[in-house]
Amino acid sequence: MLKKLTLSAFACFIGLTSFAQAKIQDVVTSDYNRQSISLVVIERGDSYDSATANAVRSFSPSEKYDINPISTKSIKVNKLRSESVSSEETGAAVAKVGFAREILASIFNRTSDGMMDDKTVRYRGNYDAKDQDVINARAARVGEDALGDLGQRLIAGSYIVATDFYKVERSTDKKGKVYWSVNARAFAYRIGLRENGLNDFYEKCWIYEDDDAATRDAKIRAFQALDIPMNLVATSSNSATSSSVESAAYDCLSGLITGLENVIPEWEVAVTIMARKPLRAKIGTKEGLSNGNRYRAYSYTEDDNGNLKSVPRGFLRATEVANNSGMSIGETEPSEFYQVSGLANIEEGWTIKQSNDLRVGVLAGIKTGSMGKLSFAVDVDYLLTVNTGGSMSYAIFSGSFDINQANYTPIFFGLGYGYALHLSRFFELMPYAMLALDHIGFSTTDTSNDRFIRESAFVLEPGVRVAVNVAYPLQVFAKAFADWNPEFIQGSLYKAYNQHVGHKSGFGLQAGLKWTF
Amino acid sequence: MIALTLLMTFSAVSASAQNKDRRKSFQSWDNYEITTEKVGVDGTKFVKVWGFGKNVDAATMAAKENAVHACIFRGLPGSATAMSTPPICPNPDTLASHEDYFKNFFAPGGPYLAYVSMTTDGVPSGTDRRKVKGGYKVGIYVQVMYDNLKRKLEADGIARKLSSGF
Amino acid sequence: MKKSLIIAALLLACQAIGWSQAKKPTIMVVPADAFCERYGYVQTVNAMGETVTSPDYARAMKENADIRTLVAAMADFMAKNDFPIQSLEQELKRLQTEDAELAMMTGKNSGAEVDETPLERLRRSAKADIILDLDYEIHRLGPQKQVSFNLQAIDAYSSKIISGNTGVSSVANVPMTSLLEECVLSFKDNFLNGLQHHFDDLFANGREISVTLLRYNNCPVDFEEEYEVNGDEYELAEIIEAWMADNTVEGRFTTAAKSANRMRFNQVRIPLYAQNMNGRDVAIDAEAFVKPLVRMLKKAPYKLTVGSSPRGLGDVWITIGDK
Repeated sequence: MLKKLTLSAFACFIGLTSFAQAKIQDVVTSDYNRQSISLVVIERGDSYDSATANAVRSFSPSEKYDINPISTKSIKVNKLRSESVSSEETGAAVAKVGFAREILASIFNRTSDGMMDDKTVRYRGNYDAKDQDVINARAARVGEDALGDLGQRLIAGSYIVATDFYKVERSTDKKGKVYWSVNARAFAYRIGLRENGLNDFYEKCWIYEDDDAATRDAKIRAFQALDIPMNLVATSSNSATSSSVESAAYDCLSGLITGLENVIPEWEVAVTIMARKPLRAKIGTKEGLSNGNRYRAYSYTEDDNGNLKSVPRGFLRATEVANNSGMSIGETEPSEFYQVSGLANIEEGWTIKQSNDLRVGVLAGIKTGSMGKLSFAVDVDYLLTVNTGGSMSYAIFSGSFDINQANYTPIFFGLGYGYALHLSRFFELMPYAMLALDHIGFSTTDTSNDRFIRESAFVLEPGVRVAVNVAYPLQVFAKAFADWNPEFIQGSLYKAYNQHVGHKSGFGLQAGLKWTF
Repeated sequence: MIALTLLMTFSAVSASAQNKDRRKSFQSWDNYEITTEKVGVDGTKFVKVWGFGKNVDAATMAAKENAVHACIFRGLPGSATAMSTPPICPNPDTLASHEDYFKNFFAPGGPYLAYVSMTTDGVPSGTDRRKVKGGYKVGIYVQVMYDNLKRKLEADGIARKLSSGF
Repeated sequence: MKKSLIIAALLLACQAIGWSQAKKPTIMVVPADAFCERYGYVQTVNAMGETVTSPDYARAMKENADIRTLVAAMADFMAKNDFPIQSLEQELKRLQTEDAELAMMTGKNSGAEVDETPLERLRRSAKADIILDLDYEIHRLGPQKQVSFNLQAIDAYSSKIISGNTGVSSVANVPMTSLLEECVLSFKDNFLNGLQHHFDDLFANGREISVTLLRYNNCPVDFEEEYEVNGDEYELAEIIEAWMADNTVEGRFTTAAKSANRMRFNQVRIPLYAQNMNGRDVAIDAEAFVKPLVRMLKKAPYKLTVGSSPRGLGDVWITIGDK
């Protein structure tokens, strides 16, 4: 499961790197407002349509998004599912629907007789209001009543996410179990409301109680004739494998949204640090924050000409996540963070901005010890949790290949758990324990089912890993460990081969570089 | 004894230096930005004002001083939905003719603080906190008790009452 | 008369030390004509055979809660500045009672001869020195509202605009009173500043009025009639001009028209107050200002029949030959 997740996340990450360039590098803003999305599935007119549609319908995105329940749930592109649809094809299909109209109808709760209200807008405005907004509202004559009107600015942050699933492939494993792999692509379209677009809309389409029948008719017609474009802002891709098309498609979706989040700056949460020791910021469940989420800190400088510049600083991860999913009354409970990198300590008032990562570290290096004089080793760790004191827990996968005995293809791999302590953010000390298999696969003729087990031995490996930040996300690490490889947990073939290979219980060392993705 | 003399001399020197500093800043005290955010609750002005200082705290204090200074001498610019506000003392000579009064008024921890309250949530943050050459420039939201400030200056004979002369 | 000028000068000198003596100008808020027309608060009046529409203030005040909110908000801040606002509503009621009483006493049809417009009459009767002409409009932007306002402070004497304030409120879906009060707070300080300027000008240069002199046909003399003053012969017009020069603040006035039958003086700057017959300081309006002139013309050597009739606070007509 973990592997599958990691792999699909990996694919999505690679898909993203090309977009990362397009991101605006100028000045990182500290503003963030809630965005609203509607998911739409692209139908191809084949037998997978219903499975993919079901997957999209049952998916609910992170709590940080508002959902606009529009009536159109799918668009059609007539193209074989063997390849992805192009953005032109999607664009044409999106343009046919008039999504902007549907979005406005849903936001303004438009009824069949054309009447609209601003209940949703006001609710969202109040819900989006930050503590500063509330305090500002109290200082102003129009007061907190006007907080709901902040919802007006959120309308321009309405998106359609059209999802396409392609290259649906069926495969069977040895036991006859069926797997489906699905590739997915998402196209995000933003409503093309210009500066005064909303005022135009109100003027032409908003029906007042005292409008006469003719005016009402004219306004209803104007609404139907509304021509607000939907503009493509970003795409992302992902893939997944599962036991059914529907669940594989479903598994792609959160990666697709994360992918879009990484390339649409408005979708990235930004907030400022309100206090240190521990680092705190007023975001939480409302922004979809969860333990371990990575943020990057920025400070601002101004040169002599008054040009503002944002200076990227260290990274930090969410630790204690506050439940802030209520209306702000000016005293929102903050979440806590732990700084994981950066030369300078993150200060009060700095901006932090969402900087999604896979929480996956890849460690490459060499290993020596009683289980092989010289091995090439690759470890992968996945960050499970972080707490405010700086302790982190990891799931660890470790693999190595004994180069000295290459003829016997001795492969060592294991899964384990590590609990890391940070003496400072630069220095991580992690005791861990791992259960591993040492496999010596010499025979090529034996095809019996239990051959793999007979060629392997269980190894218990307790150890300690030390990692030092070089330039985040690059770290240097060293591991010292003990391998316990008693005979009673060695397979029969392993025992035989091992007489030549010479793996035994004892101590070992490993060192190399770690990169966090 | 020598130490005491030295100390006294030193403190006298530093005090006069401070005074000099103060005067210099009084004369060139015009270099700050201020904008009206919205129409404030009755009797107040709700503005965003910038200040400069060696550190963030000093810059925040400077910003508060600037807000009061603007209400007394400069007036506040209007915004889309709030009209501009005239200065309480429109006469450009007021500062020079009451310099001692204003020196005391704007002294660190001085009476001006009673007429300004910061409404920024926590510390100045994000783009409102900028490192500049020689220190920090911060923008804060403040409420200036404009009406009270006006009454105070009227009572102290610095500003003229609307009803004076009748 | 010169005495009053000296007192005025003295008062001017004393205002710096806060010796309050002069009568405070009274202020009244009146809905603008445009506002009344937009909301249909108009009445038709038969004036000299012609039907004209004029604003119906009584109805506007009674039926429009918003304007009452605005007036209340303005009254509040003016009171804080020691300038209570005169209530238009009360003034209208008083006028109504007065009319009724008058009609009973004389049996005169009050609608038959309307020489002054209702506003002029109101101004004169209420004696408000400053009229605040208030106009506002509510714009609907879908679910939101915005108020745009236009407030002009008009000097009732000269009909000149003292201070004009236009602007808009926030755009929001909030109770109307919030937006209206926001408007008032928005223009408050600018408006007070305008008033201050006006008062400064009043103290320095006096009030501004106009004076018109007319000759009836039955009058034996016209304005070109000559009289002897200090051994020289002067035209009546010159004598009147000299009186104006003596009695206006720093001799400020403009002779707009001068003929045998008619004289008109503009931008006449009169002192804020003068002494009445008992030697008390009283605020004076245009009519009170010309009273000494009227008395002078009645006496020798002129011995004229002279009448004066006010047109509002800042305009007065003096007729010779008849009252």
